[in-house]
Amino acid sequence: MELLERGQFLQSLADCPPGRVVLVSGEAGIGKTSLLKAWCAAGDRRVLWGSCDALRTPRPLGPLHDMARQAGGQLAASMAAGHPRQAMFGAFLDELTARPAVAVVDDAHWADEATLDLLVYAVRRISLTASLLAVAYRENEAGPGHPLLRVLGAVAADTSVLRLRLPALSAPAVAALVAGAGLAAPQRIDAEELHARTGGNPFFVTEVLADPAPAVPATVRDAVLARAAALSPAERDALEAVAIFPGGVAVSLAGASRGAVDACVRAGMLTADGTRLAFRHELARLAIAASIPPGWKTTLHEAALRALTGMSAEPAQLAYHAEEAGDAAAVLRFAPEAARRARDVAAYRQAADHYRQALRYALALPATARAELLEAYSEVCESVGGSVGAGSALTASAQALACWREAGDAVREAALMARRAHYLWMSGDNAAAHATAREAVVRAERLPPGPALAAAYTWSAYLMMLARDIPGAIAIGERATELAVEFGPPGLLARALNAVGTARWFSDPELAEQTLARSVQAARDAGDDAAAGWALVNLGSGAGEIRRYPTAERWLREAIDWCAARDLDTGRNYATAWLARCLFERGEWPQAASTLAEVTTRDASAPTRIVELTVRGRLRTRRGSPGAADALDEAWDLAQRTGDLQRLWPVAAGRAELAWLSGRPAAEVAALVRPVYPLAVRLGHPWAIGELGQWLGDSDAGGGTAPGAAAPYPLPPVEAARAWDALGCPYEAAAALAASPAAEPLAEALRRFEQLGARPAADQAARRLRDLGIRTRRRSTLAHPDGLTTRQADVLALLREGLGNKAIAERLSLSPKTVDHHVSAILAKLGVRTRQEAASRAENGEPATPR
Amino acid sequence: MPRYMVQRTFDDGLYIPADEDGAKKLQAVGQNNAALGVNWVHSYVSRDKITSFCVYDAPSPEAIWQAAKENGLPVDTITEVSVLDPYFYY
Repeated sequence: MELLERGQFLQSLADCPPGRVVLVSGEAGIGKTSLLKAWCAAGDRRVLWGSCDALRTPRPLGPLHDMARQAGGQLAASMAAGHPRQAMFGAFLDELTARPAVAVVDDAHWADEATLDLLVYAVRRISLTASLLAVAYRENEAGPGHPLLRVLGAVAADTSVLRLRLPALSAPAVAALVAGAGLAAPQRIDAEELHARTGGNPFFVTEVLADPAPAVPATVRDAVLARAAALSPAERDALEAVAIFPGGVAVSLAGASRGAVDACVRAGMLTADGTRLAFRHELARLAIAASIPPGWKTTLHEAALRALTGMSAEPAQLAYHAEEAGDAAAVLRFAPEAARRARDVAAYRQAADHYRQALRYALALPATARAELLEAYSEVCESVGGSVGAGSALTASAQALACWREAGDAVREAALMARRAHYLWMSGDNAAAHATAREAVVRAERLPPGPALAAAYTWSAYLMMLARDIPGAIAIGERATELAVEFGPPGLLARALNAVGTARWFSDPELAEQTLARSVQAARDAGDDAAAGWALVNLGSGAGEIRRYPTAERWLREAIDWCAARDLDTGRNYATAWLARCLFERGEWPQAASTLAEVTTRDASAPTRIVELTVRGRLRTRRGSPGAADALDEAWDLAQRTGDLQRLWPVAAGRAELAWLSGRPAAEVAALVRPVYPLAVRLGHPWAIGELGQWLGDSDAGGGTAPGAAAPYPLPPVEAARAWDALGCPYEAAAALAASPAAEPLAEALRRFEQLGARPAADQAARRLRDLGIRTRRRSTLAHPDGLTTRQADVLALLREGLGNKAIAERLSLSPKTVDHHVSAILAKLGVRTRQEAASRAENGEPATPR
Repeated sequence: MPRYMVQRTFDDGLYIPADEDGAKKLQAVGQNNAALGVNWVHSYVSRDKITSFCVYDAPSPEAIWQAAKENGLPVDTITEVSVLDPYFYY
């Protein structure tokens, strides 16, 4: 079948180089599938074709299963073995790399969450292969808030993506189709009227032309039904029998006579792909399905359910037929299984849908069974995330608690209560969260040690760590760890170790690192990639918060790699922002700036935004660049909403530093720090106390340095500088020297500030030196040990070679007068009278020319 | 894109030869700038060729710093500016 008005699109597809993404969009029936099929047939590349189900709740990773069946090999093996999702994605990419192909995902607007994750994974990596990835979708069904937008957003800025939007057929094209249909006089249709009625929709047009009547049908549905009306009753029955299967069915399973089926295929109403029957288009199937009388439809679904059960069909499909047949027992049998499968590949939305499906029929179940369903449902809702997910998790877990109480299971009740405390914290209700955690502990302690106590202690410790109640978190967390090891479940141990480890950064850094490393391992053992990622991030940020930079940067880079490989964008962004902070604090300012640029600000979470803005603001402050106040003010705004010390303290310190370097009075500087300082003291955080305390002036800090400040802060200037150098903080070292009343440390501070590019601090130091009566040298002169400018060092080197002024001028592209000026300056600086003396001095092993 | 005024101090004076070498140097500067989204509009140079005031359009001060580093140019101060012309008021 030749496709009209699609020639340029076919050409674009043929010209598309490998390693690219193709997006084909358009309304239903516009011919997206036909176009892609025509392209695949014309090319000589291997084709892997996956379709997304029109099921209300689609099978998780349906398209990938389709493609695996076609590809065979490692990918099929990986899918069959039920490997972790990440391994399946990797096998898919390996397949595309090893044997270049065109991978098509059709009807992506129906994709389940796991398939969407697969698409995000694939579009980011397709350029590493010689394959092509084509995604077809109905753009008018992918409106605002549609999950597919996540995939489209991932390639929004990518100009190499081939975007094809298929338009409707023009009137001349419709006329050509009419002419091509070769209709006799009574059936001749007015092409203009056909074009107007159908809007140029190819499927609609061809449906009408297949069974023309003088009056053009008003809708596609009418056109399809008109065609069906022309069939015999047996054929009509066969059509209806197939219509209840979204995505088609094997011939043997369709409850229809073979003869009737063949007749439908001959008439063009059904297509046969091997042994699989399907409608020509989903629109046709929907039209027929909607016309089936309800009683007959129920019978058909019952038959389908019987036929598919015991044939290892997907639970999602079985649950669908069961619900359509109104078979409560079957729904309760298959829906929870479908939910479990969806959860295993992180298709959380689909899992939630299936649990809701089961819950609709669960009223007659005993309390224990209801409680299990509700508990599983709330866990999945939390994974879905967002305010809707969090709200559902709260409601469902409350209902589950009531059921456990009814069933008299105190152990499960206490364990769920502890878990619920975390749901409350995620929804922002900190007070209720802590109260619930406390109650869970009280109840669990009445019972013998077991899973309830493990859960209660774990969640309590986690909440305390988040509130930076360090001693409490460590004490309870250690107990939680012991219990979690003994009583499980697997994911709980990783959480407990995370709580203890993160808290330990402030009391025992070595032990903290060990504990968090154990958390990573426990998460990996439990197959929880996200939890492992967060443990890695906390390893890095914890070390960074206490200025252990080599450790911090090592872990942060590992966290970034881990999260990037699994498309865990939130973790990756946060770790990148933190890495920028470490580089900034170490004085590696160009690197810090380029790392900051890698944080994708568009979807950044609030904590990431706070870290990113703080680093940018402080970097600009120290360099004297414009825009420092804007960044810090925005960071302060966001940080105040959290009320957390680790967010507030760096911003407050940055604002104080900016004010001081701008010459604001000391009282104004202190006022910027005063709101946060008491919190630092209360939580006993030495680095926060030290950094904030230095801006307070004598009154608040009780004369001298704040008590409890970290090591370098209380030391006298020279010792402090040495300590800061040992930590790797050149700016703080220079700032310590600059606080000295003596001239020599001050001059050294100036030199260091110059080297860093810290303009405001350098100017301040230079001013103070001038007040002391010491003339400060011009800037780049200070880089050379003899106080020679780099240019003068070049001149000196040529002097040593015996060149005259004119020759030197030519060599260095300077004017002879400038060279004269330089030579005089050199003589003065070296303290000699003639150029011969200067040359010989250079020969006598004076410091080599620095570059 | 914001406009910035960058003040630079050249201790040995800013001399760009008016020949092929000079042209090549400026071309390299332009290429490095373009890679960062930095656009050099023009500069005002003092009589003694020691101080220059350079007008740039750039996405951020960080881009100016990086361009300066790659082109081997000193940076004293960066100020974000907007243009004020007498004829605005007529």
